[in-house]
Amino acid sequence: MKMKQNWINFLIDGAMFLAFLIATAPRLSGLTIHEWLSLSLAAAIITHLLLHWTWIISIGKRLFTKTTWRSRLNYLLNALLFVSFTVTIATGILISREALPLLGITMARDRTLEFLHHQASDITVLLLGLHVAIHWSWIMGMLRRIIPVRRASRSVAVSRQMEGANQ
Amino acid sequence: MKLIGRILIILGVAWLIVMGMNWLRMQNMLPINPDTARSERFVDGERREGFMRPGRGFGEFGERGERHFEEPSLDGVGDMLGTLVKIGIITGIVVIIDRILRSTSQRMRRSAMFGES
Repeated sequence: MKMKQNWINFLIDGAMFLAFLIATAPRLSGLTIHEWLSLSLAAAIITHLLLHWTWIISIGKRLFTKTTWRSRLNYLLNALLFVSFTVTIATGILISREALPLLGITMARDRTLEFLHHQASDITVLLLGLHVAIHWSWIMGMLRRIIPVRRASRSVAVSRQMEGANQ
Repeated sequence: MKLIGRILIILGVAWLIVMGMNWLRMQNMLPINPDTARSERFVDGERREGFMRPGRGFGEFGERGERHFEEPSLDGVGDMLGTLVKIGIITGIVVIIDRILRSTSQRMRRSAMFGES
């Protein structure tokens, strides 16, 4: 059950990471895909938060009492990441030129918002790097389950050694 | 019902963040304003090929980038790879620092244990 949950998290997080990478390159995807992909990323972030709701509440309750500094740092980092994602997506919605006009909503152009959108997305890249770093061992653990390269090579080496010993 | 409540909490917090950002903007407490935004974008445009051709003045800035990335183009692969490299570098640095700190604390623990015995 726990493993199944891990796989669901891994797949959603991987898809979100890929979507984020594409969203940071609007010249590659085009403006329409950039905007719709970012909106779906917002929905994915909500899903991500719902999947980790228990952790958010449990660490939040004992943030100032009994918990490790690593958890506190992780919590603070995640909160900042949520703020930067929210600012990026909100400013993105406000300066939208494809998605919102399609829904019949048009906003006046604001250069401050455009600049803020770019600054917030830069900060998000930085915070996302830190977020990935904190969960690096989990990511590598999941990747090793998909591509068990080291284990396979080790087992081949061991079997060769055993063959050599038998000969 | 619980799920809807949680979604509403998330959206509510996001709404508060956006309102806070807007308040900061209205109070001019953000380190940017329309003038700095315009000059920064103009410099950026001069630097980046295709973003805004050199020689176009501020008067044309209003139409900045209207067409520059409307259509998907493989020229933008570099942007995506750039982001990936940035995330990779940050992750790499933090993971290395974390491993060094862990191994240092383990050594200190070991030496403390041997010192006691």
